[in-house]
Amino acid sequence: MARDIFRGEGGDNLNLDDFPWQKISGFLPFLIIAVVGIVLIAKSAVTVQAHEKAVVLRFGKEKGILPPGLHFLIPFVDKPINVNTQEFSIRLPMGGAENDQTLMLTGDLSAAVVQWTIQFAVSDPAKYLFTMDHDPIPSRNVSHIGAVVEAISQSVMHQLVGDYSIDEMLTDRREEVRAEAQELTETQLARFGIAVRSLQLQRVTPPPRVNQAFDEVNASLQKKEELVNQAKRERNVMLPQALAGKDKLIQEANGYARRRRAEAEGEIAALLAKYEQYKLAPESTRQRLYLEAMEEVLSGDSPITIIDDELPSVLPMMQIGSDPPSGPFSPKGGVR
Amino acid sequence: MNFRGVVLLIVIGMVLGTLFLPSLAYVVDRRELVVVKKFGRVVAQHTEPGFNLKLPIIHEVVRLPRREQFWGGTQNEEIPNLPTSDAFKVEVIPWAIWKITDPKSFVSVLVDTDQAELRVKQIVRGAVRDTITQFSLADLVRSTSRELSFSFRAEATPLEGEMLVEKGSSDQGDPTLDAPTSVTLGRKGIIDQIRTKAIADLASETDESGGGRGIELVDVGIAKIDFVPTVREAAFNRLIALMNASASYHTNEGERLKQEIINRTSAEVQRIQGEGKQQNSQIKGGADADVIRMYAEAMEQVGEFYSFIRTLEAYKKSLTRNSRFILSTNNEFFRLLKSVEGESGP
Repeated sequence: MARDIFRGEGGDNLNLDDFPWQKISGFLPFLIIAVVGIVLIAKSAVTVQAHEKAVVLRFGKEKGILPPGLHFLIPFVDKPINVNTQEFSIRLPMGGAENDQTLMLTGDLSAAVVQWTIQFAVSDPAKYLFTMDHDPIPSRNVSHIGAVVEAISQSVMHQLVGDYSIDEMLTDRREEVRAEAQELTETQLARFGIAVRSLQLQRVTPPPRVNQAFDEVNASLQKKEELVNQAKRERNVMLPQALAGKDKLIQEANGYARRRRAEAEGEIAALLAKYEQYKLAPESTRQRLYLEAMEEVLSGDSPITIIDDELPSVLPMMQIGSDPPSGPFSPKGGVR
Repeated sequence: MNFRGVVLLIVIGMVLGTLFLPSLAYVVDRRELVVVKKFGRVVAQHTEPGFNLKLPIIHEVVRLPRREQFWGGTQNEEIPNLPTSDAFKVEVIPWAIWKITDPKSFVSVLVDTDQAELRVKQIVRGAVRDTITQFSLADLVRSTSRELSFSFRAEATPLEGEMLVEKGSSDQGDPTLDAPTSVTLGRKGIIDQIRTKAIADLASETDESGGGRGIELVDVGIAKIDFVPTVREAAFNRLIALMNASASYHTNEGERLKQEIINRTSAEVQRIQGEGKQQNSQIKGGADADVIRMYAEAMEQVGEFYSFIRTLEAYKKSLTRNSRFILSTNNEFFRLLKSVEGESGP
């Protein structure tokens, strides 16, 4: 080949028919191999995105699962299928609140409007890929797998709400229903390789027609509370007043008792003191005390009549019953 | 030349291969079932994935879905006006999951998935109808016999039959909409029964050749059970009546509670006041008693002296005003009026 080239460069007799063909045919195999090689490499390279996993089929059989990154497979033999593992969220029931879709029968045979959201993602790419069909359902704009998620979540919610009264749904059992719904949905979707990440109850209300009556119930509950609070306020005024009154009576009695005792003690002390002195000279003290008392008594305004005991018949003549201030000595006529 | 020939052969082989391989071989995907027909007659079926060879033109490869198929779950599939055993009318939305199990029978009997779906639909709807009519509404709605709680109307228990929808008030003459209390099977049990029946029905009904349809029900469910519109209206009216009743109940209950609290407080006030008076009397009485005792003790000590002193004091207090004294000279005080000597003592 080197000789050919040398001759071609050096020689004058340029062979147009032979020379280029020989040169190209010399390179052709390499060229073909290179092209084929590039095609094969391009065919064998697989990029798996961060939110994906790739299921590899070798002649249709499941061979393995590829994590995100660049991978090389045997071309024509291995076939990668990328599965989106990103988290999705849907709001159920589909169709919104304007129709009867959101109404659910409750356990007391009433109905409630229940809407919820559910977040889910593919947890097992192989199960997800091989269990349920992914083709769209012809009559609907949803795939088989999408319809399954919807139907199962809806069935679970309807079944749960059917076991609670509307009162419970609207008030204290909401969280219980939510948790149960999440668990049941999770269990039933696991077969399809789908994991439920979370589930939230959104709008839970009475049916639109019943809303006004429901608001009135709430208003009455608040009114009730208000009335009770009013009563408690009154109670909080009445009780302290009564206690204050009680305390007043007790304090007053204590005061009385102290005063009474003090007075009595004082009097007794005085009496005893007097008696101590009296004991020293009883007769003369007794006489003195008597005379002092009589002096005081008789020194008042009261009229005094003194009768000599030698004149025994005077007494019946006197008007003893008449009022002294009206004139003690003026006879009023008539004898008692 | 040798090397060049090999390359040429490879190239030619590859070209021919890409041209004719599809008609010589086929790959069965894990997601597919394959039936091989020879001039229309089924000669082979592949339910497992793999690489297979075939004859061009003579063999025809039919691919079917191996994965499960979903049917139902929408308003379009609703079964309207289903009577329950206690004469309620309900609407039910069923759904089903099915799959092809025997591709050979499938292509002979049903041929395509549309027909298969139609069959699933007919059998599931039949099973739903047959089963649901055997159960009461309560059984359909409830899952357990759990006692329901009614926070809004817990105390507002209506008189017997008062708040309920009157029987025959709607044009269908529905029974009263009492909240169900006991459940024999429950919704889950009924769905299980429907599923069992539908699966059995689909499997048992075979064509004349003795083979099945080649499909199988995997799961059956009920997305929704609801009243028919007339009953729903009645249920709403009942709910409104209940809520109105409980609203007025709560208002009156509030008044009652208020009065109760005030009455109780009044009673407490009375008690407190009584206690106050009681303690007041006790303390005062105690003091008085003490005073009596103290006097008694003192008097024991001083003897007649006390009555003497006390008498004199009483004189001083009581005889000072508006009194008239008639005294005899025989009196100690006036003794001296008659004689200086006097006489000692009265």
